[in-house]
Amino acid sequence: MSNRWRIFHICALVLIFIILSAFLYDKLLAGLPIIGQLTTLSSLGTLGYRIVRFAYILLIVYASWMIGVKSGIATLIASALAMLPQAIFLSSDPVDSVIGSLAALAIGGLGIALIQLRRGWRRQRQKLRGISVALRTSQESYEELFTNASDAIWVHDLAGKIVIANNACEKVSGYLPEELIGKSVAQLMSREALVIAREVRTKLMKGQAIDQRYDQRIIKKDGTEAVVELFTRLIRSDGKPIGFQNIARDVTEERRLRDNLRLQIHNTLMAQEEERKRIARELHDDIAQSILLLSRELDMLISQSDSKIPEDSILELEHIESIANNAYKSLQRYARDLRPSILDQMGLLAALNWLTEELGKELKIQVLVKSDNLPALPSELELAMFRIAQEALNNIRKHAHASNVNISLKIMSNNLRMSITDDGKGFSTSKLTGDLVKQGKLGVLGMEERARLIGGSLQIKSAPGKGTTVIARAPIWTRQKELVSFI
Amino acid sequence: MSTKIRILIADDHPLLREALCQVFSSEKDMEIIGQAGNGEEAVAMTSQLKPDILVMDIMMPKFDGLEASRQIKKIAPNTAILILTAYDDDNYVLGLLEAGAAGYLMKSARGHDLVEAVRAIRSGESVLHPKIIEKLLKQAMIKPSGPPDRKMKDLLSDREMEMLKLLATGMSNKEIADKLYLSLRTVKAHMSNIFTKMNVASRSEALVESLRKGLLTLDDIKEHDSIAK
Repeated sequence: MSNRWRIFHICALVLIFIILSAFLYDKLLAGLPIIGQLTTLSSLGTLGYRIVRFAYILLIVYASWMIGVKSGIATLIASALAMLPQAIFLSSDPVDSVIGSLAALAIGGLGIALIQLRRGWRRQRQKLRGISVALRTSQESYEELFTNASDAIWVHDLAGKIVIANNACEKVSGYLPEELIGKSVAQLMSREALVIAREVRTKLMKGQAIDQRYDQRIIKKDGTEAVVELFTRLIRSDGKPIGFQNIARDVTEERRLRDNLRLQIHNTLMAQEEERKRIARELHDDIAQSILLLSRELDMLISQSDSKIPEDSILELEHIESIANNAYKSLQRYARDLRPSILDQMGLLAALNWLTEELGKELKIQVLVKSDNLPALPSELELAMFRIAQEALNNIRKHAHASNVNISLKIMSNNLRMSITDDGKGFSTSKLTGDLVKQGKLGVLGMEERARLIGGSLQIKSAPGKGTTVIARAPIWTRQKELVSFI
Repeated sequence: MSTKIRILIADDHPLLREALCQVFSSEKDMEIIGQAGNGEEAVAMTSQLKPDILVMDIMMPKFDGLEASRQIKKIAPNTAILILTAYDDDNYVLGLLEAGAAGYLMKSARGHDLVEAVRAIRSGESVLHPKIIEKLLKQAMIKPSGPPDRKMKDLLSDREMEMLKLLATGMSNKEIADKLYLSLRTVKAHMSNIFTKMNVASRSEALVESLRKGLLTLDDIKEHDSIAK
């Protein structure tokens, strides 16, 4: 209610109260000119006072209705103050008048109470209506979110029957949401996928949460396979499991690209190794041997005791021999850089020792190799570890500005763990995420891929100013079919 | 020594093998008793002919010179192996010695050096650079060999142990003879006894074997250092 109306009602209230009171006290006012004439009730007798009392009731109700409970009570008190003196002192029948007045006041009070009650009730109803509106709105927006979410979301019960599915499910599975509802999730899964699904289910039912998304393959309506990244959560009602909520994102294309990239790197690595090996062998078996033979022949020519060659020519020949020998040595060095024969012949540890000594000499830094007693290792494993170390040391040479490098080889429960630690300037590993190809960081990818190809993994730990650690792990006994041969 | 040094040659390149044969054929105290074209042949011929010295290229088909060396040391421990290699950096050489080589030469070494190396090995002289010996000792110390082999230690006389320690310094037979006030002949005889007892064919092998069996310790090396000074 606006303020102006409030003032109007208060004014009206006060005016009516004064007029009523004037009628009540007509006998005292009778002496006054005009007012006395207007306020006389004498012609009506006691009935007039009853009407006035009744009017007070109306006034109290009016006040509490229009203005509020406080003004109602104020009017009630004021009416009591107005009525009771008249009833006691001025009335011809005080008992009857007092009873009448009290009755009027009681009815007025009852009126206030009733109005108040009605008000509270109405407020309650309004509030309830507000809640229901809010509820409907939020439900609608949730439904909207669910229906139009870009991720596929569905819930299936404990038996695997799909209870609810959103629109994005169609994109992922090829089925319309209506088609999905009532279907069993098992129908969407290959045998391998079912195994994973069972594992997830068992884990969740045991009360373990699965925080990470996992890859799952589903069979689409058209029979093709899609790779989805899945997040599954157990739904409970009153503490009892009732179903599973699944959020899935189609990553088929992403995975395909990743696999392609891997395959490409794999092929590149293989081709590189093959080519290096071929060139090294050619250098060594063919050219080097010829030069060696040349040197031997010269040697024999020079050292023949009954030689007819003059002294000057012998010096000349010795010079030619030394040229041949130098050519031989640099050829061998070249062949070795391509394919370290020390690795093939003497194993990983000797090859790493060789590698680190070269680096130590070149950079004049301390490079240490520590190793457990190594068993005979598969040559694929040795080559991969060697190449990873080579790349890591290359990075140290190029970027790290390290003064100490430590390589350690450890055997840990059938795994070979190689760590290469430097105390150089390090870098932020967040730079290792994202498009490594674009950034030209193929070296890191190559290391990862080499580790992966022997069934292992690669980890890089670093922070600016904290040095870098590269850890490669791989099983010593790889299953035959998983072996991808470089050799 | 009145008898000739019996030499077997193993190299997969026929022309180079021929060149090697020529180097030795002009020496009066040596004779070529056979030629092998790969590692497998080298092992077979060694076990059959029991040469004094096997001159072997390291890079060969079938098994390479290293694998052949390991096998030969099992079946013919008294044949000393001289490896011809393209590389002579320390780690490589240590690997050769671990496999049982008596010594090594660069493939490009001159005929004269080759002949001298064969003679040195045969007479129990050192054919290793002192730097390599030092490295060998250091590497042996990093890898603890466990308690010393009592049996082997008991087998050697005090004098032989003493010589073994001197051997680790890279001293020549002559130097050892001077130091111990013995004749060169006696020193050679002792060497020969040591080799027989240890079942090896050369000084380098005796050294590697004694490190492996824990007969030499870090203290010995320190002692040697002080001797060297």
